[in-house]
Amino acid sequence: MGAVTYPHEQVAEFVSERFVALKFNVKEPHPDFKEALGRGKVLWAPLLVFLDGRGSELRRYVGYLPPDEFLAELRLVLGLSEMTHANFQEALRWFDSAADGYPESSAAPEALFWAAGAAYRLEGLAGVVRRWDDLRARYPETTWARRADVVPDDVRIKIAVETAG
Amino acid sequence: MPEIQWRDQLQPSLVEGREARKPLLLYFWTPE
Repeated sequence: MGAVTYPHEQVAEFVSERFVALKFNVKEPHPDFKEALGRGKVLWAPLLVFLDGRGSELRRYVGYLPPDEFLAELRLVLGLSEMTHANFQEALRWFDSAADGYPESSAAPEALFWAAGAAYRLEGLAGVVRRWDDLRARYPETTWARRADVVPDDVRIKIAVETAG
Repeated sequence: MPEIQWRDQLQPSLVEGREARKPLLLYFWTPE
Protein backbone atom coordinates (compact mmCIF):
# COMPACT_ATOMS: atom_id res chain seq x y z
CA MET A 1 0.00 0.00 0.00
CA GLY A 2 2.75 2.44 1.00
CA ALA A 3 4.80 1.85 -2.14
CA VAL A 4 2.09 1.84 -4.81
CA THR A 5 -1.40 2.73 -3.65
CA TYR A 6 -0.99 5.68 -1.30
CA PRO A 7 1.43 7.61 -3.58
CA HIS A 8 -0.98 7.16 -6.53
CA GLU A 9 -2.12 10.66 -7.51
CA GLN A 10 -5.87 9.98 -7.57
CA VAL A 11 -5.69 8.04 -4.30
CA ALA A 12 -3.72 10.75 -2.52
CA GLU A 13 -6.12 13.42 -3.73
CA PHE A 14 -9.25 11.47 -2.83
CA VAL A 15 -8.03 10.45 0.63
CA SER A 16 -6.87 14.00 1.41
CA GLU A 17 -10.18 15.47 0.30
CA ARG A 18 -12.61 12.98 1.85
CA PHE A 19 -10.92 11.26 4.84
CA VAL A 20 -8.88 11.93 7.95
CA ALA A 21 -5.98 9.49 7.62
CA LEU A 22 -4.03 7.87 10.46
CA LYS A 23 -1.10 5.47 10.22
CA PHE A 24 0.12 3.04 12.90
CA ASN A 25 3.22 0.85 12.73
CA VAL A 26 2.14 -2.48 14.22
CA LYS A 27 5.73 -3.28 15.27
CA GLU A 28 6.22 0.01 17.14
CA PRO A 29 2.76 0.93 18.38
CA HIS A 30 1.95 4.55 19.15
CA PRO A 31 0.17 5.14 22.54
CA ASP A 32 -3.14 5.58 20.63
CA PHE A 33 -2.71 2.26 18.81
CA LYS A 34 -4.96 0.14 21.05
CA GLU A 35 -7.75 2.69 21.26
CA ALA A 36 -7.63 3.16 17.50
CA LEU A 37 -7.76 -0.57 16.86
CA GLY A 38 -10.80 -1.06 19.07
CA ARG A 39 -11.63 -4.53 20.33
CA GLY A 40 -10.02 -6.42 17.44
CA LYS A 41 -6.44 -7.52 16.84
CA VAL A 42 -4.08 -7.13 13.94
CA LEU A 43 -3.93 -10.72 12.67
CA TRP A 44 -2.49 -9.59 9.36
CA ALA A 45 -1.24 -6.34 7.87
CA PRO A 46 -2.05 -4.18 6.09
CA LEU A 47 -5.26 -3.73 8.02
CA LEU A 48 -7.60 -0.84 7.26
CA VAL A 49 -10.20 0.27 9.80
CA PHE A 50 -12.70 2.97 8.89
CA LEU A 51 -14.41 4.93 11.68
CA ASP A 52 -17.02 7.64 11.68
CA GLY A 53 -16.39 10.87 13.60
CA ARG A 54 -17.91 9.34 16.75
CA GLY A 55 -15.40 6.48 16.66
CA SER A 56 -17.90 3.84 15.53
CA GLU A 57 -16.47 1.33 13.11
CA LEU A 58 -17.83 1.52 9.57
CA ARG A 59 -15.73 -1.20 7.99
CA ARG A 60 -12.55 -3.28 8.29
CA TYR A 61 -10.44 -4.58 5.42
CA VAL A 62 -7.43 -6.90 5.54
CA GLY A 63 -4.84 -7.14 2.76
CA TYR A 64 -3.38 -5.14 -0.09
CA LEU A 65 -5.56 -3.06 -2.43
CA PRO A 66 -4.22 -1.71 -5.73
CA PRO A 67 -5.22 1.89 -6.55
CA ASP A 68 -8.45 1.20 -8.49
CA GLU A 69 -9.66 -1.34 -5.93
CA PHE A 70 -8.86 1.10 -3.15
CA LEU A 71 -10.68 3.98 -4.85
CA ALA A 72 -13.76 1.77 -5.18
CA GLU A 73 -13.44 0.69 -1.54
CA LEU A 74 -13.24 4.33 -0.40
CA ARG A 75 -16.46 5.17 -2.26
CA LEU A 76 -18.17 2.21 -0.64
CA VAL A 77 -17.05 3.45 2.79
CA LEU A 78 -18.38 6.95 2.03
CA GLY A 79 -21.73 5.40 1.13
CA LEU A 80 -21.81 3.50 4.43
CA SER A 81 -20.84 6.67 6.27
CA GLU A 82 -23.70 8.61 4.66
CA MET A 83 -26.11 5.81 5.62
CA THR A 84 -25.12 6.21 9.28
CA HIS A 85 -26.06 9.89 8.96
CA ALA A 86 -29.38 8.90 7.28
CA ASN A 87 -28.30 10.70 4.09
CA PHE A 88 -29.65 7.97 1.85
CA GLN A 89 -29.57 9.94 -1.41
CA GLU A 90 -25.91 10.77 -0.84
CA ALA A 91 -25.24 7.15 0.13
CA LEU A 92 -26.79 5.98 -3.14
CA ARG A 93 -24.59 8.38 -5.06
CA TRP A 94 -21.43 6.89 -3.52
CA PHE A 95 -22.55 3.29 -3.94
CA ASP A 96 -23.38 3.92 -7.60
CA SER A 97 -20.09 5.73 -8.03
CA ALA A 98 -18.21 2.65 -6.71
CA ALA A 99 -20.19 0.20 -8.86
CA ASP A 100 -20.31 2.23 -12.07
CA GLY A 101 -16.88 3.83 -11.81
CA TYR A 102 -15.06 0.60 -10.90
CA PRO A 103 -17.22 -2.25 -12.23
CA GLU A 104 -14.33 -4.74 -12.18
CA SER A 105 -13.52 -4.09 -8.51
CA SER A 106 -14.44 -6.46 -5.71
CA ALA A 107 -16.25 -3.55 -4.03
CA ALA A 108 -18.67 -3.12 -6.97
CA PRO A 109 -21.10 -5.98 -6.18
CA GLU A 110 -21.05 -5.10 -2.49
CA ALA A 111 -21.80 -1.47 -3.36
CA LEU A 112 -24.86 -2.62 -5.31
CA PHE A 113 -25.94 -4.72 -2.35
CA TRP A 114 -25.76 -1.72 -0.04
CA ALA A 115 -27.38 0.55 -2.62
CA ALA A 116 -30.49 -1.56 -2.12
CA GLY A 117 -30.31 -0.76 1.59
CA ALA A 118 -30.27 2.96 0.87
CA ALA A 119 -32.95 2.57 -1.81
CA TYR A 120 -35.21 0.86 0.73
CA ARG A 121 -35.27 4.03 2.81
CA LEU A 122 -36.09 6.14 -0.26
CA GLU A 123 -38.31 3.92 -2.39
CA GLY A 124 -39.41 1.03 -0.20
CA LEU A 125 -39.25 -2.63 -1.19
CA ALA A 126 -39.57 -1.90 -4.91
CA GLY A 127 -36.20 -0.12 -4.78
CA VAL A 128 -34.59 -3.08 -3.04
CA VAL A 129 -35.92 -5.61 -5.55
CA ARG A 130 -34.88 -3.52 -8.55
CA ARG A 131 -31.35 -3.02 -7.27
CA TRP A 132 -30.87 -6.59 -6.09
CA ASP A 133 -32.10 -7.87 -9.46
CA ASP A 134 -29.50 -5.62 -11.07
CA LEU A 135 -26.81 -6.98 -8.71
CA ARG A 136 -27.73 -10.61 -9.44
CA ALA A 137 -27.73 -9.96 -13.21
CA ARG A 138 -24.37 -8.16 -13.23
CA TYR A 139 -22.48 -10.27 -10.67
CA PRO A 140 -24.30 -13.64 -10.48
CA GLU A 141 -21.33 -15.62 -9.12
CA THR A 142 -20.56 -13.37 -6.15
CA THR A 143 -21.39 -13.84 -2.50
CA TRP A 144 -23.32 -10.54 -2.69
CA ALA A 145 -25.64 -11.93 -5.35
CA ARG A 146 -26.29 -14.96 -3.14
CA ARG A 147 -27.04 -12.72 -0.15
CA ALA A 148 -29.52 -10.80 -2.33
CA ASP A 149 -31.29 -13.91 -3.55
CA VAL A 150 -34.07 -13.72 -0.95
CA VAL A 151 -37.03 -11.92 -2.47
CA PRO A 152 -40.07 -14.23 -2.39
CA ASP A 153 -42.48 -14.39 -5.33
CA ASP A 154 -45.40 -12.98 -3.34
CA VAL A 155 -43.39 -9.84 -2.63
CA ARG A 156 -42.57 -9.48 -6.32
CA ILE A 157 -46.26 -9.89 -7.22
CA LYS A 158 -47.29 -7.32 -4.61
CA ILE A 159 -44.77 -4.80 -5.96
CA ALA A 160 -45.84 -5.47 -9.55
CA VAL A 161 -49.50 -4.85 -8.62
CA GLU A 162 -48.64 -1.65 -6.72
CA THR A 163 -46.48 -0.41 -9.60
CA ALA A 164 -49.20 -1.15 -12.14
CA GLY A 165 -51.82 0.54 -9.98
CA MET B 1 2.03 15.93 -6.52
CA PRO B 2 -0.51 15.46 -3.68
CA GLU B 3 0.56 13.55 -0.61
CA ILE B 4 -1.54 12.05 2.16
CA GLN B 5 -1.03 13.79 5.49
CA TRP B 6 -0.91 10.96 8.04
CA ARG B 7 -1.85 11.58 11.65
CA ASP B 8 -1.11 9.32 14.63
CA GLN B 9 -3.34 10.78 17.36
CA LEU B 10 -6.85 9.41 17.55
CA GLN B 11 -8.83 11.95 19.57
CA PRO B 12 -7.82 15.07 17.58
CA SER B 13 -8.54 13.08 14.40
CA LEU B 14 -12.00 12.15 15.64
CA VAL B 15 -12.72 15.82 16.35
CA GLU B 16 -11.44 16.75 12.89
CA GLY B 17 -13.57 14.01 11.32
CA ARG B 18 -16.70 15.16 13.17
CA GLU B 19 -16.18 18.80 12.31
CA ALA B 20 -15.37 18.17 8.65
CA ARG B 21 -17.91 15.33 8.34
CA LYS B 22 -15.16 13.00 7.13
CA PRO B 23 -14.70 9.34 8.06
CA LEU B 24 -11.35 8.23 9.51
CA LEU B 25 -9.08 5.88 7.60
CA LEU B 26 -6.82 3.97 10.00
CA TYR B 27 -3.93 2.18 8.32
CA PHE B 28 -2.13 -0.48 10.36
CA TRP B 29 1.08 -1.56 8.68
CA THR B 30 4.31 -3.45 9.27
CA PRO B 31 7.73 -2.45 7.89
CA GLU B 32 8.42 -5.83 6.26
